[in-house]
Amino acid sequence: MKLKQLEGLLGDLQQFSNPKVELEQYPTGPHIASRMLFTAENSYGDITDKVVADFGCGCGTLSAAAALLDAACVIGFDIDPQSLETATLNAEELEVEIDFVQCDVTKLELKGQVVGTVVMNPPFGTRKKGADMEFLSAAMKVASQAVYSLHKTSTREHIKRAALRDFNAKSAEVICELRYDLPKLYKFHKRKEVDIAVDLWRFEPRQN
Amino acid sequence: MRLMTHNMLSCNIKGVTNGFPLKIEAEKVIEKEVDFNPDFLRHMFAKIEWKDLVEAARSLGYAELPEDSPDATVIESAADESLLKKLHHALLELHLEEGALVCPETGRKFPVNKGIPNMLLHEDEA
Repeated sequence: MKLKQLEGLLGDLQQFSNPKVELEQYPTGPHIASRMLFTAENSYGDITDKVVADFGCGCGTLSAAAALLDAACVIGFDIDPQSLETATLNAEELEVEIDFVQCDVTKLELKGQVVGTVVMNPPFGTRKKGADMEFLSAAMKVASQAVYSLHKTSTREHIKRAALRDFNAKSAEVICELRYDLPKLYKFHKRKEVDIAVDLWRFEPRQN
Repeated sequence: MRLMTHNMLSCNIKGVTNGFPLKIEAEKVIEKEVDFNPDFLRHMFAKIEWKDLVEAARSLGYAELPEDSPDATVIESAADESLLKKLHHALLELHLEEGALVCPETGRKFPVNKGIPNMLLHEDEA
């Protein structure tokens, strides 16, 4: 599948109808989502024929991208039932199979080494301090092959240090820097839209 | 929820040491065909808990998997893919739509609705 086609399909997905600010629910736009997963597969072979988990899947954009790039099995995890309902509809619309699990990923216990790759657009930690690190820690425990994650560029040094020192990372690379367009979603947003610099990271866990 | 997912879920209530595997109470099961990918299945075979998968598949009404974990040579064999096809069906084509996952240690039920298990813990369980 070509990048433009993937981006087009993801652009048609339904997003949050009533986003919950305390969960930092922001849609992962088709531009970022398509590039993230396309790179994961084309540069690293981490998606096709692999078991892929999407942590904090929301409405399932990254999960859908993984499924469209022929992951062997995709599982989306999220705490919010409304988002999971939307994610289910999106999967049906695209005619792809995605399993969804309602849970708190930071408290999840997953057995075995079945999950190969974790992809995620985690909360940045603006509402619940440290949420971004909790998600990263959880992802590094689960993935046997790679973790792809988005974090604010301003946290780059902090993330690198934590991943290598505390979260069992063999490597931690910023693959590229992207601009995350956040439209005015919540009442407290003053500007019509804002542009945040985010890093797309690839982490490799050490073999357990 | 399919059994590939079930094969990795466990009960994470505080203090529970034997929360895996979760027993299945099935009320509604559907089957959906997906493409057969033998290389993927061969790769997965070593990573899944065979006996737990057999039991889980039985709970969903599928009893074709052999009780004992097959020899690696049978799985590797390119000639006979019949066992791989059964593994494929059990792992990826059976969907638990309604029912519950039950913690083997505490008996706590995690409901499954519209194919989605709810693993959220109550305050006193976390």
